[in-house]
Amino acid sequence: MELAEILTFGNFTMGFIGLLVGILFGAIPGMTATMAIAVFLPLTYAYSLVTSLFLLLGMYVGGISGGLIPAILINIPGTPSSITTCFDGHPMTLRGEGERALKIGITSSLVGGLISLGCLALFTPLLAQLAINFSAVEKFLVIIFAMTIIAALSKGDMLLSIFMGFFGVLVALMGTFDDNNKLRLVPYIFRRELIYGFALLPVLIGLFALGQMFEEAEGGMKKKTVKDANAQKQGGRKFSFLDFKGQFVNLLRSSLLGTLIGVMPGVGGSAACIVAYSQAKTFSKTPEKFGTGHVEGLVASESANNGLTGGALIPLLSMGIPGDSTTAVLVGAFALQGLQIGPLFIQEHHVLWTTVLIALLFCNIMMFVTMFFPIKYIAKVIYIPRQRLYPIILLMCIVGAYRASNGVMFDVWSLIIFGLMGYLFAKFKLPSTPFLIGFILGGDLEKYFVDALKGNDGALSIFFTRGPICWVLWLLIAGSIAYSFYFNKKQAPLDGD
Amino acid sequence: MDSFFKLEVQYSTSHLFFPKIVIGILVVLAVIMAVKYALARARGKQPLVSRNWSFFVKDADFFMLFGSLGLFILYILALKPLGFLVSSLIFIFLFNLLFCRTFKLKSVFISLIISVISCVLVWYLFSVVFNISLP
Repeated sequence: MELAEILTFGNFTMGFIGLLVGILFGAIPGMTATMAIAVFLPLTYAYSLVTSLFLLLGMYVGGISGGLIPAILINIPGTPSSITTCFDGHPMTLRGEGERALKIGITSSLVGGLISLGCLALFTPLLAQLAINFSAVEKFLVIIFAMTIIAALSKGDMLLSIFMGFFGVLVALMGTFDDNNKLRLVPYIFRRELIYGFALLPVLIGLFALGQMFEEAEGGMKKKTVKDANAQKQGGRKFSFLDFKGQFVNLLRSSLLGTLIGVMPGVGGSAACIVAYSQAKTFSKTPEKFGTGHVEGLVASESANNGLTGGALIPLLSMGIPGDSTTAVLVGAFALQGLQIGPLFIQEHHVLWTTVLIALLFCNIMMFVTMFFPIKYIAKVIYIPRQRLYPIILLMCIVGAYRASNGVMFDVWSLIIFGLMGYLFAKFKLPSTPFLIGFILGGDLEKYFVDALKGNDGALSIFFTRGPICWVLWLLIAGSIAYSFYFNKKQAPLDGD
Repeated sequence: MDSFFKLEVQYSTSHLFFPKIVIGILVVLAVIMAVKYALARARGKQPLVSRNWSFFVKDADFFMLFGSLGLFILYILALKPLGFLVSSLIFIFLFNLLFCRTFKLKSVFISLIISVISCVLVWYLFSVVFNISLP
């Protein structure tokens, strides 16, 4: 019964369309999977959540995978998660082994995706089981832990990341407080428009699509595809599955590292591939070959960034905390259909949980099939001019923002506010992912904090005396702060200015 | 001692309770960051704002940057009086012209085709097929 609802031709078609759109966004430098999902969210309004999930997860997988094409062919990562793919992928292209590099990358991506899918299926129910018994106190601490972990892994900018996270919380608090129905933090002239605060969708689209467009406009939208000639070079070694001989441990380690980094909230794909790449180099017998077109490096980078996909979904589906910016946008998809994700998600919406697993499996396999064989032709997408795509994206932005809360013009205006904010964030190197995660979790953070205090006559001691889970969470919070202090100290001399 | 660790949540002002805490945290963090930054600069004998720092990138395309912002604002303003389809047709075409920065006949023609196809498709999909109202 359940499966009959999921395994329909229409759903698979949507998954495939999502995949193609994702590959397109991933492969064009300056456009990302996050942007694809944010822009296409309004489309899901017309579909059931099952069908929407196929479309959006297709974009997620496609967007992460598509990034390897320009990384390998023109030495520009299509998405931040393929930065390290450039290091060994592009030198291979220069040797005339472009196609081989692409096929190795695609196969590694498939393995990474499948391993992380296994972790998702295994660990999400366990984590949700644990989280079901959480009271307001533990829920509050989990969110605080999520915010400190974002900070701990944001190399050297710990304070800034925490600041941005709380800034996101503050913006989320604008509007009416449910307990006593009073308005706060809202300028008097906007008291009507902001009665419920800012809607999630304009914030997402503004930050990740419009902000990016302003940046590109400032740069003049010049063509990035310059080193074209090298991509055409032929005659190097051809791909064979024997290339993966001896890569088993590397594949497994990199995929698991990618998954693990995906689980940590707010830590993006760039961290996943960089960590996996440097670990592969450390454990390698031939570390000196890294950066010269070495298969090992390519395998590590690509399996790690696809490992991210399943990992980032684990905290989202078990506790409602998004693992990266793309899954944060997925929160928007659920919200659009009036669904809040939390520990009860798997129990109460079993169909959707099965859908996520099947859709991810399907999209990973389809990604391999559609990219592996016709890769020569798929690779051409990197030559689509961005000047022609951005106007269409703008059109979708308008539709998306307008539909956010059933046709409110103010949401379209908030699009501009957050578009400019995204642009300014990039200018001052302020991380936008902690801001977004703070914004998404801000309302809950307040609710749990106030509830916990009210349940205990306002005594703060409740946060320490609730039980062993509390203590573990405090240990984790302290650990992540200590780690970042230690790491900051160690990093400081390297950073220079 | 016990009362020190108590925070009373008054019903009438409970809407301001948590925002105050968040603002407090933000101010403290901002001060710490500012002091750290100033100290680091002073230690390195550098001025507070480095001389070669500029807000815009080198060779910034101001026409395109402010043009796209202006067009976007005009687009939103035009949505109500002109309706979604008409205003989108006009502005998506203008955005195409702005981003391509050329008036060659072929380019203008492509812009026209892109704007007509994308706008009509989106409009048809949303308001006819999905029956979702647009501005």
